[in-house]
Amino acid sequence: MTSKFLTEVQQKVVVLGDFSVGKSSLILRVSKNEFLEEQESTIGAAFINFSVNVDNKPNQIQIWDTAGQEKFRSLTPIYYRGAIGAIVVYDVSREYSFQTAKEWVEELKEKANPKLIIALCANKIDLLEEKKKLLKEKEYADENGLLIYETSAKTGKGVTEMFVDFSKNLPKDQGREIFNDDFFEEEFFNIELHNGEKKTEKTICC
Amino acid sequence: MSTTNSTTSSQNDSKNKKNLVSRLETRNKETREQELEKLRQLQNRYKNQKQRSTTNQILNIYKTPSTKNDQSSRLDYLRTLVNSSKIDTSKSKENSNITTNTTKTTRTISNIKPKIKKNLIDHNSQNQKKTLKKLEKTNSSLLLIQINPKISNTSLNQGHYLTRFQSGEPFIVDDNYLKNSNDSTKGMNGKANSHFEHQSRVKQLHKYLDKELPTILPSEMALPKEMLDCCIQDLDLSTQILKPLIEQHKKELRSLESMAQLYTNKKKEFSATNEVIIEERTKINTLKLFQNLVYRNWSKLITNEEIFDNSHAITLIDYQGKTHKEISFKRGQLIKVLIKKKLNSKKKKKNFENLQCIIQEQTGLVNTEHIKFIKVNILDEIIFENKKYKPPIPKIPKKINWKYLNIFEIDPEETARQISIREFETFSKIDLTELLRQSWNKKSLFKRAPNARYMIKRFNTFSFWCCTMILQSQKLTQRANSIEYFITVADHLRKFNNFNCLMAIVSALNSNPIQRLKYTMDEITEVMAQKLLSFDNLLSSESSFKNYRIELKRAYDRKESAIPFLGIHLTDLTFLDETRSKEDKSEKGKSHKMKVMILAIMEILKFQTHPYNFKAIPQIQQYFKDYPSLNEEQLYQKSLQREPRGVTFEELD
Repeated sequence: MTSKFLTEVQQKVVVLGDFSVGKSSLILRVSKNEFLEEQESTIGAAFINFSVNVDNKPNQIQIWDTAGQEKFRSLTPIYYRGAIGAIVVYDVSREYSFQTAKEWVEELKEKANPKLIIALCANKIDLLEEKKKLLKEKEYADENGLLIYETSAKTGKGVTEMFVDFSKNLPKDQGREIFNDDFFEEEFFNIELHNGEKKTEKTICC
Repeated sequence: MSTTNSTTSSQNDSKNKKNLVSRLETRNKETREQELEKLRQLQNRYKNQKQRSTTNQILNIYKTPSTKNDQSSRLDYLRTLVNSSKIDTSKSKENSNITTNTTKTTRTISNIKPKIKKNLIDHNSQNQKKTLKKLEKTNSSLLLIQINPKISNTSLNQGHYLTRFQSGEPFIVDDNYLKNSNDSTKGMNGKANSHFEHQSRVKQLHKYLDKELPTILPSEMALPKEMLDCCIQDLDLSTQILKPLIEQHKKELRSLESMAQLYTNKKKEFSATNEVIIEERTKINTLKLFQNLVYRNWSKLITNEEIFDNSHAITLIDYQGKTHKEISFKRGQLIKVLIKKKLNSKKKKKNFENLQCIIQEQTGLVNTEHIKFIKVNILDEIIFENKKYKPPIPKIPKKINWKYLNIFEIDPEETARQISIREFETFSKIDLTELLRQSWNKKSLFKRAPNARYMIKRFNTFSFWCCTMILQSQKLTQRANSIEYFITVADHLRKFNNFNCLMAIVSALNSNPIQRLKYTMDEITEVMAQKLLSFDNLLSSESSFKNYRIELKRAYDRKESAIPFLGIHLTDLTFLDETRSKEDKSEKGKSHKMKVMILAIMEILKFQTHPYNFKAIPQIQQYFKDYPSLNEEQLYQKSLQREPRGVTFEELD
């Protein structure tokens, strides 16, 4: 059985947070290490999908980023609708971003799917001094039943581990099964990098 | 030809005339021969036209240049006319006497009255005799402003003309234009033509139709009154000066139109274009006339140099040098107008197939090239007018002038139109530089992206406004109706490819304060619910908005106007910006990054050149200027008021 004909479980995960917290760079770090090294030329839909083997079954996570759309306030309910998990990112070096993260968590608990699994991600840990150990945040996470991770997208510390661990915590019943065809190889994204050289096709004339 | 004619005439005529002719012939043979050659050429050209014999000859009198040497040639034409119509010798004498009188005056006089010309066209020799009698009696002054293809270009309103002149766009229609039009039409029939060329060309054609009605008519056509009025308008060099003059001599000018048909020469030699004959003994250039008229009105003398500064004279300058146009084109336009009226009245597709026959019937033209030209032009315009270029008729609600407009009384299609007009304004202002470096998101770069941020703000307010409009009504059925109304509006927005507003409405209907109204959502009919589902599918996040991107591409391929949803493209741009900035900071890498970014930006901005073709209703536009709406929290509380938690259906009303 080749991997082409395996059925997978697709699960939607949302990444939320204030702007310039490092959401997109987190996702890029994951996708770069895993998939994007070979097909650097096309930035397509690939970086959003992330597959993990859980108990010898391929689990596909559809990671959803709102990067660049933080100002579209009215859109956010659409994004976290139908999601199974949510990762709320905040910047360690900025205290304001933690407050917004709190607001996000409250909104998700009130209005989103009640079975939603929420994780708190403390990003940019390389900027933090060693003495502080994120005591406040850990307390808050314990009170509200959140998972907590410490990452830094710049060095790549704890990024892939977070996503793998988070996917293991997701309920296996939920999500929808898909047939893994050449589904993600199609290019819907119109940007193509030619590296300054256009390919010329030779045609044969009669 | 000429010599034989002259000899026969001399035999028939009396001695006086013989003497005259001999005198004239001796004066200048060379010029006369040249003139006669030209006459022959003309006659060959108009073999196919039925009434060529008399009218041509009369017109040739006018066509001759105004130099002193050509007096004799004009006399010859008159004489040949008399011979051909076989008028009695006595009357021809009188005619010749008149001509001799004119020779005494330093310059020739055009003594033929318009009525006479009409009669001559009718081929009745008896009538001709009568008219000749009238010739003797009437020595009254005549205003003859020669109808010239060039003048027709001055028919544009002065204001319009001036603005265009100031903007520096020369308005020149020459042969290249005609060639281009022909080529492009071929392209339309065969392969797909580029959208922009087409649009611009259609615009140009419309300019002609609106502001420039043709002056010159084919011979056998009867003129409608409107046309004639337009023709008179064409004649005024500057509207302020020549209006009173034209009103006095309306009749003459009208009859002149029928004469001017034969001015089909391309050569400048024949066209006595600059001649303006106002009274006896006076025969001036248009420029001189203009100067004199200005002097009479304002008592100022204007030199040639000053004319260039004077705004009134701009039309004249254009008339003199800048514009030149083929008459065949002019004629084609007029025929177009006439045939279009016929086609529109019938509204049958079969007419298009038999266009060639219709043109022949209408115009009596035999020349195949002319017909082809006309056919191509007509097809071009009519097709575009009916399908694309004409905006749809707006559906105006009854209570539009009331102080407080109720949206739910406006037709949903009309609201969709007005919204998309309004939204396109903001969208079209977005500049390329605004979308670089994530400047819409960063506080330090907010100044760079005012328009993009305004568009995002409008998006949010619009969706919140939709929520408030739905939550306004207390009754359950009203709320359901309003939701259905917005779904129909969204359906129309989908038709117009306005993805931005579609997304806003969909987000409003999927927002928490409305999704939690379970009883009202149950009231919606299945058809509407399915429509909502289809919108969700279209804008779903699956595989990075696959469906949406396909639709957007399709809209561009069809050359339809569209407004893309900004948010998706902004995420693309942020990812591009994040990846490329960290990789390599060499110059090559930077330039490459810029290339990629600009390609991504142009995906959005390429739609800015396709504006919507709808008519704006000012009252509704004013309504959509701002979207007064509640807060996010206020909305949630409002929805709690409408349907409190744990309420049964019976308790609601």
